[in-house]
Amino acid sequence: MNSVSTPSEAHTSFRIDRKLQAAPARVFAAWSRAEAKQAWFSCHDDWRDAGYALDFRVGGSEYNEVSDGDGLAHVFRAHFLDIVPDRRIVYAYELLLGERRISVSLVTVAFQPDAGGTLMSFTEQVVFLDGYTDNGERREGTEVGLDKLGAWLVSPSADAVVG
Amino acid sequence: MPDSQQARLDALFHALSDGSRRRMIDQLSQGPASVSELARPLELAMPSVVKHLAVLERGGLVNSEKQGRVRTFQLVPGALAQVETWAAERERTWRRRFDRLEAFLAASDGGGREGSA
Repeated sequence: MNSVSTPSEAHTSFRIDRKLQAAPARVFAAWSRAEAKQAWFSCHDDWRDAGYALDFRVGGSEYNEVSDGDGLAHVFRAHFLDIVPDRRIVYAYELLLGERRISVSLVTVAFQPDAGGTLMSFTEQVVFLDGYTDNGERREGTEVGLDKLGAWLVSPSADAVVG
Repeated sequence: MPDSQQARLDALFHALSDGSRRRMIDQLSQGPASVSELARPLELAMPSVVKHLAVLERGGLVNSEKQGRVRTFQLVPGALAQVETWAAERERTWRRRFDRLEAFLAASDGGGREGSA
């Protein structure tokens, strides 16, 4: 874990679309208000919360720190770049594991009214740094996605993303 | 991460960092090919193709075998899983969060008057 790693960068991106049974204003509020965001953002119930702050405005930031089972700090730090109320949020964020920055991302979340609800589209463009290792997430994810890479690599987007 | 795994990833990322090498991988995803078959669409000289193939081989992405006088290269199945696996893990984290977001929105539903919100 504390071995000195050679700098390396691996880029990729992914998108998640969700149909939500709530109007865009309520979905937007769930992203923009601290109590609401905290209610759903933390996804490890057994990890200890060690700090949270949200300053939701262009130029503002968000900070979330949790300790995992081994007492290692997982730090999420975001900077808001573009906000259109009820419609769009663009932010950059970094993840730190202890002292190591393991990834940096650009995220675009868009909200579209859709039959009384909201179509939420989440796109993350990520660069994984220095042999990225997130020991909190890798255990259950290792079997995922093995077959997708071939298709991704030969798709036109692979050159756009990697090149 | 053990140093050996770190070294393996470094070699993998280096192998993927060049457009010609990615096009060679692209071609090899269609099936095995000889050095000259790989050189043709790239319009590269043989020696530089051989050099690229060596980098790909060190990255664990391709291997080769000699059939008679012709050396044939092929993709190593599953070698590219690492980057995609990281992305899949990240995606999975967000999907879990959005499950919680859905539950949160349902729990804080203001009397079911979504349409007028």
